[in-house]
Amino acid sequence: MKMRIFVFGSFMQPSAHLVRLNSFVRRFQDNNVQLTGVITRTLPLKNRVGTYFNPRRTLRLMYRTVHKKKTQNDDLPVYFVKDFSSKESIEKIRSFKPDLMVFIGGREILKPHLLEIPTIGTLGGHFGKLPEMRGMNVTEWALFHSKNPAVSIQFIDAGVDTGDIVFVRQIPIERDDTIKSLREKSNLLCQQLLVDATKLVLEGKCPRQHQKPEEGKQYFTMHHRLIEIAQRNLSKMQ
Amino acid sequence: MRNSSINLNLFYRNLQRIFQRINNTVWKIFFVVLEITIEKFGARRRGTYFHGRVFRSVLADAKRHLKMMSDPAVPRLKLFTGEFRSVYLKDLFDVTYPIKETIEHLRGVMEWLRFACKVWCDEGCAAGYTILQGGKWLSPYPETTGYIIPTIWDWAKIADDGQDWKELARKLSLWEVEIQFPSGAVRQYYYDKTAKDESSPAVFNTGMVIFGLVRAYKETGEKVFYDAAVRAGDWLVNMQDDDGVWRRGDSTMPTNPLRTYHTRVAWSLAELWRESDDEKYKEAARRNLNWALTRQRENGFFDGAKFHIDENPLTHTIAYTIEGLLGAGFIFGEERYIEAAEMAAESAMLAYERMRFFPATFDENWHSDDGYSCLTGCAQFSVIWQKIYQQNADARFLNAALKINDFLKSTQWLDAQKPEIRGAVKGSHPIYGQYRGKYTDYSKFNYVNWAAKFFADALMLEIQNLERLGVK
Repeated sequence: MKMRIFVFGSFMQPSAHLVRLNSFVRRFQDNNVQLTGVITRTLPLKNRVGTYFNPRRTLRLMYRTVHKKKTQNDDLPVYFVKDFSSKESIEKIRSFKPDLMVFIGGREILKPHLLEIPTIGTLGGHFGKLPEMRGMNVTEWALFHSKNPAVSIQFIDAGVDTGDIVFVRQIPIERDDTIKSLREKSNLLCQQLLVDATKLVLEGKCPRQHQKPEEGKQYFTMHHRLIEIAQRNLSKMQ
Repeated sequence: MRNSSINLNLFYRNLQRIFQRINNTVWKIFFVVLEITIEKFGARRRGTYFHGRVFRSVLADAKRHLKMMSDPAVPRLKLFTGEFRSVYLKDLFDVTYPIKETIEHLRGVMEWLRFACKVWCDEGCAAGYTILQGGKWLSPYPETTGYIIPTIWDWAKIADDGQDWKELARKLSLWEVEIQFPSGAVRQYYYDKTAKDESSPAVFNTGMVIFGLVRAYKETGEKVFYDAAVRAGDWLVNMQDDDGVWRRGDSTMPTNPLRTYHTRVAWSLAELWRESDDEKYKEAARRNLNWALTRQRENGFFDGAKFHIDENPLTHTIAYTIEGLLGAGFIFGEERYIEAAEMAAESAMLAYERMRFFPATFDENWHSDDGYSCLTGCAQFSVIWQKIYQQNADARFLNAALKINDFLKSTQWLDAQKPEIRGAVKGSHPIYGQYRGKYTDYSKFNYVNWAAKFFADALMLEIQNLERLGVK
């Protein structure tokens, strides 16, 4: 029986939403991974007024872009939900009967009743080395501690980056790298690793390494004075 | 009929579109005007690190304000004039002040503290300045003057006019000796020159004055300060029960009978022990600290770290409790006190980072639905987090402290025309606290000297920590 795989996620900025969602979908299609659909979130009010962006136009544009890029035989549907935690959204997602969901990004913490819908689980990427570094700005935090940034793929659970680990890959630092370029590299690597993990799930060979909550620390948005130190460490590591 | 019905539907649909378009345009104009206004004020908005709060909070505050204005108990906007009105309005619309160099904020707050001492001719530091009743200085506060003295000694080492500051610290210490009861105790609440010496003694206040006296003795070597500190310490030891709790002789205003925040008194005894080598102070301090450890929950929360029964503890009193354990733990070199302090401090830090806001109170699960901050508590936690960072090198604590320092800086008005509020730190932010059917606040409409003291401590630590990391 064919496995039902859904890609889902949302981004704070409409333009990022459009670009990242599209590039993720294309990467899956380029690697011959058959997706069942895309689930994404309509953007909240604060983004509409914050960016002076017309949300309806953005979503129409996004829908068109996704469809324009689709392969000829693949009619990939895009579903919109209000959010990923309300009862109606959960019911809607449950009706899709997903086997595997791939979270491609967004700031929301995914609630347990969403994560229990797919029969296999929900794959997600994290721009840090698990289990050591959980949370936000972990690329900067790795550099602050003079360590190479890394990307981890995990089966998301209800905690913050505490799910079973699939892959951890370090990112080599090159001569002209900046924090921004390292984040971009992390993003590209994360996309590829998500596709690889999905393929392994399809083949039934996906590794799962359990992590304990006490094995790592949760990090948060880094203050700009500490980012200065991370940048200084980066130039030393080059 | 059928045709007309279709036309009507079309008409409504078009009308709906027109309204939507107007609605969007109105929203855009509103926020553009708002942004321009904020820019024109030259102010910076709260939420630098936490995007998306600004617009929601402006609207929420505006709604809250409308509710507030319908309550006759609330001081009306028209009562405030000039810069007081500006303070009120800026807080109402979440408009904050520009963040400058740390040293400028530090200088601003210390100059305000000096002013607060000068208004009473160096006989104690005024408890604060209220913007109610046209604005007036509050009476000197022996308790807070006591712990402000070490801050002034610390600042004297950095300031250009260090000698003047040393002189001020000495004068304040002499004043503390002068008003001390013969028993060695220190009075509760504010000092009133005109009243007869009838004020009841207070354990907590006595402990806080010991900090100032011990430091004055260390810096000047004058025996008068040492003797006064010993008298205060002896009185504290006598007032303590066998289980380490101070049930007698404390301020009558708080209704909580078992005050876990007395760990800060224990810390003052630890300071006295270090100076005098008298074991009785150490034993008394340890008795209280050991008792405080029994009041700690698994999530780090301390029961009884509050002023009043039936209310959640303020971050101010939670911080007092942690400060006591941490300070005494460092002096005695006892890991269990430091670990207990770290556990509570970490829980508070995680709550702050997750909420992206530091509320005035916490419940026993480190949750809060407060919409206002107690700035004293914010500054105290900044100090705690920075001291813990110095201890365990976990930069997450320093990170949280730097962020909360930025928040505090953004509430400090350095360019105010009135010296009474220039550089001062408010009790609550917003200054009116929070209106939820009734007022909840911490020292609303006041600028208080203890908030200034802890803010200055936090900034001095920030400078020290960043220098060590090589960031200028």
